[in-house]
Amino acid sequence: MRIADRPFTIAVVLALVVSVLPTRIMGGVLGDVSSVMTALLNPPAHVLQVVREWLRPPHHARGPLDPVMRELLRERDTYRSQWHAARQEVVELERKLDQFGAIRRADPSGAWRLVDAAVGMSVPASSQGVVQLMTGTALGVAAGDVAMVRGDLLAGRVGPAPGRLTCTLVPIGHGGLGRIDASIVIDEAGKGRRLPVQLEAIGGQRLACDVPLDGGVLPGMLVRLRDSSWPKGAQGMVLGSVVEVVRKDQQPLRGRAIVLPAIDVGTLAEVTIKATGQDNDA
Amino acid sequence: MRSPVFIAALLVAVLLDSAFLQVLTIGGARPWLFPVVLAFVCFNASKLAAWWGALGMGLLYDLVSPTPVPGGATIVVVGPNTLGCLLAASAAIPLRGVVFKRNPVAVGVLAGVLLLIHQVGWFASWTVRGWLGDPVPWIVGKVGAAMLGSFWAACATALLGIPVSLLLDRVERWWGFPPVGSVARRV
Repeated sequence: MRIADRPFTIAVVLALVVSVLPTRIMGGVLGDVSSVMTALLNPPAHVLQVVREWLRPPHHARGPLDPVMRELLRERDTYRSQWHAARQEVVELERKLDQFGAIRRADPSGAWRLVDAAVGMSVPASSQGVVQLMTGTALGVAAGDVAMVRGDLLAGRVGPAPGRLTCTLVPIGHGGLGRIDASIVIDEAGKGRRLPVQLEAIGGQRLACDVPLDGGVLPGMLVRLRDSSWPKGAQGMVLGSVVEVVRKDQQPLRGRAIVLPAIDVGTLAEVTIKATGQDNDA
Repeated sequence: MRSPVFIAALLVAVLLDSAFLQVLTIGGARPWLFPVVLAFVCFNASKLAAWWGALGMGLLYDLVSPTPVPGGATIVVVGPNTLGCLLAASAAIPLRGVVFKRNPVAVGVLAGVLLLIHQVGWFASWTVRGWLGDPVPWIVGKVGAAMLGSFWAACATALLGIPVSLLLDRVERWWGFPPVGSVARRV
């Protein structure tokens, strides 16, 4: 059979060539063209599908409309949500176990007990982050006890005069904690060279300290507690990290290191208190 | 042949084939409309118009037939339906002198046969692509079952072709086919 039309012959040859080209070469273009065609044809096709389903409904003996199936789906969803909740609880308990283990490893003296405290509302009229904790002296919490997160990140200290069931948490970076002796870890991975500093709150939940400009202090370095006025078990815990080192105008050879607390108490739902007081419930 | 009418008929065929004709499935036999349209065009249009019609039909069906591949993706391949439609047209065009095109049964049966011929081209094209490393849209080793399915589809298409060819005969004048015996029809 002879086809004299040259454009048609070229079109057929082109189609045959495209038909054997690997997908990686033509697949993208053809996919796009197909998408455009499908987009144009989908609306009327959908109408036809609806008519088709109306004329000949699919077998739903055990489909979503079947009451037995609906009940099974409901039960499945219920158990699935319960399973997710249980899984979440397990993850939470594992996290607590890890935290308690880390705390015990850091201070094996055992002269304390760990108390989980839910974070309540912020104290009214306090714009500096003091929060209420839902625990108190009933569980042995005493004024000055430290609150921590994830094992060794200091969140703050329990404020004065804790109640029986509630207390306040004064976070790191709050002026009420006064000056804090700490050390900047210059060489965390190596010998652990530390630079003793004294931190003071400068507002905005930040701390600052004077450092020698040639002391090797750089942003990102950890700042650990080294203050004898704090409980012994809190020594060495992480207060925060250096975020900025600026030159002091009056003392050109010294700098000012700005430290951001490791924990933003405002974002916490729970902290762990290393309680040193007596358990009044006992 | 008037191109707008052909394009409209082609779109109706592709829509019905993709979204509606499953309603007529009996057992595994699912009818297709495009072989009936192809047979109608091949028997009535000029040869060149019939060839172009077959090519356009094959391309359109290829473009709206994404094929799933392992991994959850789909690919669009131009070739299987194009080759199938051209093969079917190459069988139908020489027959137009010997088929009584006013007989709906003859057109219906020929539509079924054209579907079988189309399937030969379709399987051949995919087989070649399979040799080149592409996945094939049938279970490897079960091609016999797929071809048997094509046979039942051809039977259903033949049955569908009878009323559809009657309907198409009614609207033949819209298509602007050249009169029988004219030079235009033989080109």
